[in-house]
Amino acid sequence: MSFEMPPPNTPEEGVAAPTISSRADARRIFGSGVPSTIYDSPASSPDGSRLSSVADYGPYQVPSRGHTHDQSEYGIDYQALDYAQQIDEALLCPICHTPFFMPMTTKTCGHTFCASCLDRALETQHVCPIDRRPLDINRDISQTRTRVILDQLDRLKVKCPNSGCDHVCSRELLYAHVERYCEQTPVRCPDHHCDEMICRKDARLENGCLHYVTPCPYCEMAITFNDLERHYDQECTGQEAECPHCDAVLVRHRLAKHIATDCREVETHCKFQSAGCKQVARRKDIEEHLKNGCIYEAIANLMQAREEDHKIINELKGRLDALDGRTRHLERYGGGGAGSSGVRESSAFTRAAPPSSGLTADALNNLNRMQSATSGYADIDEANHNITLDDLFETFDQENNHQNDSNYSSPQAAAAAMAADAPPAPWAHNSGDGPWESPEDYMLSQFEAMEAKIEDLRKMMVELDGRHTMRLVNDTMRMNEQIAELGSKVGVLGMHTTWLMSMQRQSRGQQNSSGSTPGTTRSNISAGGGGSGGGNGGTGGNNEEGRGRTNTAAAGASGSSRTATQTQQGSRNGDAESARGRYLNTTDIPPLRRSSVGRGENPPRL
Amino acid sequence: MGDIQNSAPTFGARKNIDPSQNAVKRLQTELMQLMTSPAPGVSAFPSADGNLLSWRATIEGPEDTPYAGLTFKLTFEFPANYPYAPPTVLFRTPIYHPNVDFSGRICLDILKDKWTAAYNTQTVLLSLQSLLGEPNNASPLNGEAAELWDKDPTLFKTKVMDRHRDIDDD
Repeated sequence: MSFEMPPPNTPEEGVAAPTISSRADARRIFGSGVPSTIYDSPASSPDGSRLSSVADYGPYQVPSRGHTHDQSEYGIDYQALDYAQQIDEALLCPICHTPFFMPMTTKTCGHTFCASCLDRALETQHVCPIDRRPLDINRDISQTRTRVILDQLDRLKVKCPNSGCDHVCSRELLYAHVERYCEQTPVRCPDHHCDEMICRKDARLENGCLHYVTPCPYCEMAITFNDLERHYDQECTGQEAECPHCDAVLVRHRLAKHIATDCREVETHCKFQSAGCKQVARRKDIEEHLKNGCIYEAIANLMQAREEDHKIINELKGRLDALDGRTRHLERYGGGGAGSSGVRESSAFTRAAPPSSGLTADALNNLNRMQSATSGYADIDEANHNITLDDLFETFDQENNHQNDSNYSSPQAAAAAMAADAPPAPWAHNSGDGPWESPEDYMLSQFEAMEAKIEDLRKMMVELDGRHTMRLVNDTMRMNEQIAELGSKVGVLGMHTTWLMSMQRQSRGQQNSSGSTPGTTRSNISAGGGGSGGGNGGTGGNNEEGRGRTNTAAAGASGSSRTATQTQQGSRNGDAESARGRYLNTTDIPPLRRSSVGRGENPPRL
Repeated sequence: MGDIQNSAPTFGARKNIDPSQNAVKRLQTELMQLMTSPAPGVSAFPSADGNLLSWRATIEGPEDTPYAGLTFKLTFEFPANYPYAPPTVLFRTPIYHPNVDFSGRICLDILKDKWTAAYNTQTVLLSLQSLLGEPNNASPLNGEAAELWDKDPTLFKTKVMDRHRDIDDD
């Protein structure tokens, strides 16, 4: 090998370790409330400087390097875990080839590694292990924060690392399992004179210290008591027992288990026995039998499916029973919104729907009738109030009667009701020993039912109100349109009048052109035209139609006239534009042309 | 590294005591990967003595190279801090190649200073396989071979065939 490894425990780790252990202490002090997942932990160590990427991950127990004894008490090497599921290759660290633990991502090239893997890789070379880009441990790497990845990692199913424990859980829960629940976790010996560790299941005060040396009952080897089990499995050679069925030789202690599950010579049933296979043979023959295809295997699948179905059916049954109980309870005490009167068995429960829907339908019909009868919106509103209360009482009575009639229409319902020992009639009809504990209770339930119905009616009214508003808006819109149309027509008429008057004026002006007519005559006429036009166009909100059309000579003569200030051309343009812009009936507008108006030729097309 | 780790008592939850444990774990996953999705032309397996830190591997000579049709055996010795340090790889089959000397040592950058922890046995084998077809003649261990590679391919081929001989597994 041509390059040298740096000394294994570099200063980096040495400094990082206290940080970790102080966090572990903090966790111990504050109890187990600290989340077992790392991801709520701050990104950097408390003193603000980051010395090692591992230091980012506080609450996890950091495995292996530079740990103290305390810290390793439940230290889990997450990279040595066995996973109970197939793992997506994208979740594997390229260095340790196990699912990421405390993943770190490089900022420069985006590659992800376990924190400890990356740390160790960077001890030798300060480059990314994938693409050899230079990396600065303090600057260029950061904790992976992509939740999709972290959640996937947290959810991985993992086996408990303690030997003898078969527990499988998601990885984020593993620490809690090992720390608090796993029976195989080594804990301190209950005898505080003893420094040894012992499995939690054996660490009982009444057991005392089990770290006393005892001879193995089979091989005479001196061994501590708590280590015996492991000793039987791994080392013990003494007092071996021969299996009565096969040639296997094993410790006497293990014989029973061997015969039950392992011995290939012992007679056993086919594993499809439950499906009907009668085959009984030695285990190795059974294996052969299975390999050749047990004919019951096909059925076994069916049986399995059937069993699953059974399971589902039973579960559903249980749920049905629970619901049944709940229904009964609800009926007995209070009745809720739907239970308006009396006791109803669950089979009769659905009958609650028709009467109440009948009620709503009735109320709706009444409201509709009122609506068509009255024209004003306010009236309807008032009428609604009147009708609801009357109607309510009326339908209540109807419903009660209906209920009493129909309650025992089916024999099952009757039987069920008898079984439940509950008389069908409400308290009012069966005074005394009804399901209601007192008249007050009954009244209360009735009251609640009424409240529910009132609530229903209120909702209906709100809906009706909405519909009304819509209709009103629709109607007024149409009317508005019509008014606007009328306005436009009036405006057009006004325009024609003005035009005719100006024609008249012009012709008169031509007649008088030889004589010296005073300007006041013209201005009077034009002012009159303006007035009439303004009056006509009032509904349309347009004054321009009313503006007198005077020639320039008239404009000069009538200084006082409002209309005269406008030139002939300007006013005409204004007329045409406003008429076209405001009213859709542009065909009604006479085509006015400057020259024709000015000369009095070409009368407008009306 | 290790006295600190070894001070912890050996219990089930602590499998990280032995520093080579991580290397073994990683080699196990690599072995699994090689078994389940083998790359064509290369194979590797732990040596018979049950030591996972020592492997035997074979490479088939690539087509269109002087090594076509030949099979080469190699040994891999993994350090305890693998994969943070590269394995030591040797050709056990005698090979005539510009970057391999007569005792089987290999001059390949990724086995030396260019090693990164992201490499694994399979990638190393594939790199070696491509090295057979594309030797790095700029830094030869076998100068004669480097010269002949360019000048006289026919003679090179003859030398390759002369040098090659199948060896038995031990």
